[in-house]
Amino acid sequence: MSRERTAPIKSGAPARWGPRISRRILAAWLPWWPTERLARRRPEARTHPFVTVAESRNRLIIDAANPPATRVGLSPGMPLADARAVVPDVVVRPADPAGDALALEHLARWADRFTPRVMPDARDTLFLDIAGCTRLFGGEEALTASLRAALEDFGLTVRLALADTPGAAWALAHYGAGEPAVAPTGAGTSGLKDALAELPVAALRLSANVADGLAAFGLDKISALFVIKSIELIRRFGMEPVRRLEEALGIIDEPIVPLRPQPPREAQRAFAEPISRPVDIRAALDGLLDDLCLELGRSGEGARRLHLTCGRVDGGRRTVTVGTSRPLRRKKPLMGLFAEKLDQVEPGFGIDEIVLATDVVETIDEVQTDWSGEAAGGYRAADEEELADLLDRLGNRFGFGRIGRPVPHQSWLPERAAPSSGGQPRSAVHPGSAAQPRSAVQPGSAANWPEDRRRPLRLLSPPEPVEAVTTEAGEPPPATAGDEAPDRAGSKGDSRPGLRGFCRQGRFHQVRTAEGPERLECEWWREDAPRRDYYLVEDVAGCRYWLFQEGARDEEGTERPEGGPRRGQALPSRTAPRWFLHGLFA
Amino acid sequence: MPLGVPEIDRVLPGGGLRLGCIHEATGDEAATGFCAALLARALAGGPGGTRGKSRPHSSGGRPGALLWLARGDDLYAPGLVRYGIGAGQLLVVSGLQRQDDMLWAMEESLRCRAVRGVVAETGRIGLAAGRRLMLAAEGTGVLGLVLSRRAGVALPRRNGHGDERWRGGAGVRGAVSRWRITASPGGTNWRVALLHCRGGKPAEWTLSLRAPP
Repeated sequence: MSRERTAPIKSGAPARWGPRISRRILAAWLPWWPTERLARRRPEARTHPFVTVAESRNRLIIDAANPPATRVGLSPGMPLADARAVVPDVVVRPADPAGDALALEHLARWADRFTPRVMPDARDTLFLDIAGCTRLFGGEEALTASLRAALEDFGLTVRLALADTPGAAWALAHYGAGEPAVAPTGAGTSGLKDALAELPVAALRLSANVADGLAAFGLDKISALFVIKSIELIRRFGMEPVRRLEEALGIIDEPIVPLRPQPPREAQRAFAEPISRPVDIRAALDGLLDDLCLELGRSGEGARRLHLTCGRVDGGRRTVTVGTSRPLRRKKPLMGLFAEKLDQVEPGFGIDEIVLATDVVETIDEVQTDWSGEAAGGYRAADEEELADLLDRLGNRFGFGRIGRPVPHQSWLPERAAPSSGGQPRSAVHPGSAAQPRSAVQPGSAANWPEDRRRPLRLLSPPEPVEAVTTEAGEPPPATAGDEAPDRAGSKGDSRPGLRGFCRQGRFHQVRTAEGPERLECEWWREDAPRRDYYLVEDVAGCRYWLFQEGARDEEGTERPEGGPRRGQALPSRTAPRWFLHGLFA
Repeated sequence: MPLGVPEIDRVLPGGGLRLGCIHEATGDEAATGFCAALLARALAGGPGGTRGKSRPHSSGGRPGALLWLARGDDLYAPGLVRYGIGAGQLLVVSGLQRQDDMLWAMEESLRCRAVRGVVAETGRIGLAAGRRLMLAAEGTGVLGLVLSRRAGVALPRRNGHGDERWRGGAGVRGAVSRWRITASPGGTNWRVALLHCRGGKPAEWTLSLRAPP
């Protein structure tokens, strides 16, 4: 016990940081990436001079050239016209840096079969952190060889290097001797110093002007930098060379940011023979779900989001994602969710690898039920589960944002009084606390909208402008109450509305009765606060509408600031109040 | 399920609306209110009234969910309180523009034992789809309502052809009963017409919503 406790201190690691987790970085440099990537689709471009060009100052400049082109003297930076003078039938394609980066990212995703921690770097390098993964492939050499074989199969030239830091691996891949260039593992800073000493300073991933500046001082090898005080370097060249040197030597940490965040739970299968029939995919998924649910069950957790990634024989990958409204680890509903989407997996020539991962995991609160399946609170847990399954199916097909449970919101403005509580999978069915029945079933809170105010069944959004005919043109109807929250102004017989009728969609509606006004306002702290007087209007046919007028005068006769029905919409400055239709009653 | 209005229940076979099958309600906004009231009754379960003796969000009966499968997103929940559906009791799935989405969602909902009632805003349902929905509802006893809103019809056209057109255009096959509800002058009045009912006779009433006690 005591030995364990003192072990890190004895090992000499700084107590503040704790023992450093060892890393082993495999850098894969693809020197001809832009051209070889394009040449995969054009076999003739492998053996024939082939360049990509980019426009610069109205000239076409070679951006990348393939090995045959380099052999005859074409090089990046050369104008295309000169290149054509040398090789008249050179194959030319436009340069596509974004496409290069995207393709490199795809390659990085493919490479996660060797290690989950893969990062594409710059234009043409992949970093793979293979610490802990080597034993699956039979050692470092075997892993390196198998990566090389696979990349060469793709028609790519690659230089590999192994070191304990990304910086050193990059330097060895680009400038190191030997193939692959290997720096000894676990040798620490001094070992890395030995490995890098003879390399040019450009191997430190320096920008061109810094590298040139160092060379001008005669500092052409990295070993020359070891003897110079870093303060001197910083004074002349800025932080860059010092930072890069310290990164390469492992003095400061350079993280590998994996493309794919490491999922907490994962299950995977690889197939000797590729599968493509939906039945087989389903059977494989079934097995994976068994594994995953078992693993989740051990830790008392459930998945909120699952990704099914299918690796195809041709290197393509398809990912299908499902979400759930509550943590789940039962196989049947999960299978049902995937079943809806499995047709999105296009097997192509076949699938040889299938990975099921969950990246959002939550603890499941177990519910105690009695023998009849009824839990405390009188609701049936089975019903609850069934409803949640239904919502999951709906949510995965239509998007969880489309499912909502409208709940009251404290606002007088009608369009803000009923935000739906949907939007996230969580709120659709999720419990407030364990004590409350987590319920799609029972009202979650006692709060309700006031019943004494009539509200329409349908709310038009945005409000529809209508032409209103009032008793005196341009004048608001005689208001019976103008305070903040007025009662409904008497019964409909009493109020004498000035509104006689309105025109909507080319039809004239003659008003039979109108109740109001009910003045509704926005919160005072909102700048564009509209001030509306609402009327419940019934036309002669018996249809009931919710109209409001905006820009009504106060008793003092001052014009209220107008606020449009839509934010940011410039309103014509008119003195006459404007009428809008906002809702329809039953 | 009795509607709680004796005059109507007397006409309906079995003294109320049959659960576990599809009913169609057509008309203007009043049909929306009618569907809301029926949903609230399906949730409350026991005797009481929605129209007339209204008991909003009564806590009695087996709990269950109410679903509203909406074509747009203009359903306004505060307006439903009046018909007995309280805050947080209704699940709204909005923006189901495509007919096959709507049918799929309705069928899934009807198959769910935890659901008490479903409203789908859709116009036409074919014979095969209607039969599927009916079978789905039969197993669970869920109340299925198809609300066909006439696009832009807030005003019933009483031009001599309107009624026939509505009767003929009712496009939900397999519906056990077919209702037409339109607003009628006088504050809160509806004209409720039972156009077709399996085992019952067509009839027409004028209903008035009493204020909740």
